Amino acid sequence: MKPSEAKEAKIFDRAYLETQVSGNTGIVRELLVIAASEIPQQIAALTHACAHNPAEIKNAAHKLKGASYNMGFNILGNLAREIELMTLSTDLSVYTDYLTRIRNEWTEILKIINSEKKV
Amino acid sequence: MHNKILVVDDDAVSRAVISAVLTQNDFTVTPVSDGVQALAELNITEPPRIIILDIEMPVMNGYETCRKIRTRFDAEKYYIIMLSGKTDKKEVVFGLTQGADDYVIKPFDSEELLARVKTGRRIIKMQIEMAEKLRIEEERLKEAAYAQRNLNSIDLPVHALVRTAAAYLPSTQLGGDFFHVHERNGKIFFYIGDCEGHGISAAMDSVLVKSVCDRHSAHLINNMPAQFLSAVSSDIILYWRFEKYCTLFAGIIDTDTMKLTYANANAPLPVLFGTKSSVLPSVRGVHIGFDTELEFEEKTIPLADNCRMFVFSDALPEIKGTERMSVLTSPCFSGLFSQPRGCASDEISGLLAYIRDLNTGLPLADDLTLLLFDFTRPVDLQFAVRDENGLTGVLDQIEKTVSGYGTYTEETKKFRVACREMIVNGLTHGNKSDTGKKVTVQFHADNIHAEAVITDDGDGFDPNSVPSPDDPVRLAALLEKDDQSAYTHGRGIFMTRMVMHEVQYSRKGNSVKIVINFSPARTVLEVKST
Repeated sequence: MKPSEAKEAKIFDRAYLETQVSGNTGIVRELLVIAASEIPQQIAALTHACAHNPAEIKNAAHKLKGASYNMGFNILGNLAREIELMTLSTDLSVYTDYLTRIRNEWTEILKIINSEKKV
Repeated sequence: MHNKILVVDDDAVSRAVISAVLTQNDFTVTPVSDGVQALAELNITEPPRIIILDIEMPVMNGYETCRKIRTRFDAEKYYIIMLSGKTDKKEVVFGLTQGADDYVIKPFDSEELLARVKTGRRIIKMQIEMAEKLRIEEERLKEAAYAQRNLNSIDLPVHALVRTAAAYLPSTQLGGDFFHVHERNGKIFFYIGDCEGHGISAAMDSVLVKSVCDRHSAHLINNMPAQFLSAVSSDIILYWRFEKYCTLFAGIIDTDTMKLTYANANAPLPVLFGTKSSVLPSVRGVHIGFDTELEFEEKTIPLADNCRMFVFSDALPEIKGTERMSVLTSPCFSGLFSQPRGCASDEISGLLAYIRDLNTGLPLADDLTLLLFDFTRPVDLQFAVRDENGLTGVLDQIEKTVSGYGTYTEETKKFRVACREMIVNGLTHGNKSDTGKKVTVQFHADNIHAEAVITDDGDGFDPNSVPSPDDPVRLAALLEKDDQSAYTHGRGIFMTRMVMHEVQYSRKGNSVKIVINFSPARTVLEVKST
C-alpha cells in the first residue's frame, strides 16, 4: 500500500504494530497506553479547530492521521486523512459528521485497549 | 557511539512507536518533542549522530532544525532522516535541500526505517573515521612542515659589506623549498632549491637534498658551484633513481672582490637591482636528478656597489596579480627596490606584503622562499651642530642612513635617541649653549654596527662624577621626601648606556663614542599559509 492511500479498514491492525516492534507484545501494550492518553487530546484539538479555528484543521487532522496509522488504527487514520484532504470550508458543519464518526471509532478502539489491559 | 539516535517528533504516539522500533533493534533513543530541544541534545560530549526528524512541529519545525544543525561546526557528522506524512515529491526534494540526508514517508515501515538508519550509521562511522584520518594526516603535515622550516637557515650571516634578509612562506600544501646561507672567511655561499610536488613527500625530499647539499658544501667553500651541483645530482640519483627531480641555484659572494660566482639547475635566476634591474645571465644546466654526471656551466659577475640581489624560489614567477602580470615584470616590483633602503626586517616585510597583495590575499599555490642580499659599502659622515635648531636635520640623516644597514627599526630609533641625548649634552653642558662653539659628530655605519663620536668644544668633565640616577638613596629622597637637592643630572647618559652596546668617554670627557651592534637578521618564517 502506498502511504498516500487509505489503509485497509481495520479498527486495530495488531499484526502491523507487532511487526513494527519485532513481535514484542509488551511494547505493544505500552504503546496502547500512550495512545489511550494522547489520541483523545488530538481528537479534542481537531474538534476545537473544526469549531473555532479552521486554519488549524489540516494540521490537527494530519497529526491524528499520523498517530493513528502508526498504531494501526486504520479506520481512525482514514477518517482523519479524509478531513486533511478536504477543501477547507467556511461552513464548519461539514466536519460534524466526520467528528462524530471519529469519536465513535475512538470508542471502539478504547474498548479494544481496555480488553488488552485485562489480558 | 553510533547507536545513539535522536527522535524529534511532537506527536507522542509517533515518537513512542519510532522509539520502540529502534530500541527493539539495539539503538539507544533520545526522544524530544521539538527542534529547540533537539539542538540542545546535540550540545553534549558525545551527541547522537543519527537524527530522525519530523517536519510539522511547533516552536521550531523540521526544516529550520535541519538548517541549524547544518550550520554547526561538526555539521557533516550528523545523518538526518526526515520523517513526514507529506508525500508530494516537491516536499521531499525541499526537505533534502534543507540538509536532510534521507526522507522516510509516514506511516513508515519499520524494516525500511531500520535499513535507512543502518545506512546512516555506516555513513557516519565512515565520515568520523575519515575525519580522524584527516586529523592525523594534518598532524603529520604539521610535523613535516616544522622539520622542513627548521632545516633551513634561521640565523643569517653577518658581514660588514653584505646584509642578508630571508623569508619563507608556506603554501596551503606542504612544499619542497629549501635554502641555506652561510658565511666563511669573507665569502657568503648560498643555495636555494625546490623539490617537485607537494605534501609530505616533497618536504621529505627537501630534507634529503639539503643533507646531500651539506655533504658537498666544500665545493661551495672552494668557489666551485658547478661542481657542487654535479656532486649533488650524482648523489641524489642513488635515492631518487630518476623518478624525482629538483631545481637548485648555488652562488658564492666573494666580499674581497665583490663578485658572484654561480651555477644553476633550472631554478629561477635571481634579479639584480642597481642603477637598473637585470636578471643574472643564464647558465647552462638541467634539473638535479635528471641524469648522472651532469655538467653545469658556471659564471662570475661583478657586484656593483649598493646593488641588491633578490633570490627566490619557483613559486614567485607563478604569482600573477589582478592584471595577470607576473610579480617580476610588474613596475611596482622594481619600484620597491629603487626606494631608499629601510631596515632589513622592514624590507622583507614590505616584499611579503606586496606579494600577498598581488596574490589578492589568496593562499599561495606553492611555498615561497625569498632571499635578499644588499651589497652596501660602509659609510662615514661628519656633521657640526651649533644649537638645537640644526639638530633634527642631522638626526634625520643619521636615522635614514642607519636604516639602510640595520636589521630592526627599534635599533635605528635607539641610535637616534642616544645621538640626540649626547649631542644635546655637548651643546648644553659642554658648550654651555655658546653658539660660537660646535658639537662635531663623526658617524660610521656598516652592516654590523653603527657608531658616532660626539665631541664638544667645552672643557670636558669626569663622567664618573655624575651621580647615577638610579641610586636608590637619591631616588628615595626624591620620591618619598620630595627632596629636590637629591635631583640629579645624568639621566641622558644613564639612558644611553641602557640602549647602546658601548658608551666610551674620552680622557678629557668632552668626547663620547656610542656604538650599537645590529641584531643578526633571522629568516622570517610564516607559520600559517598565506
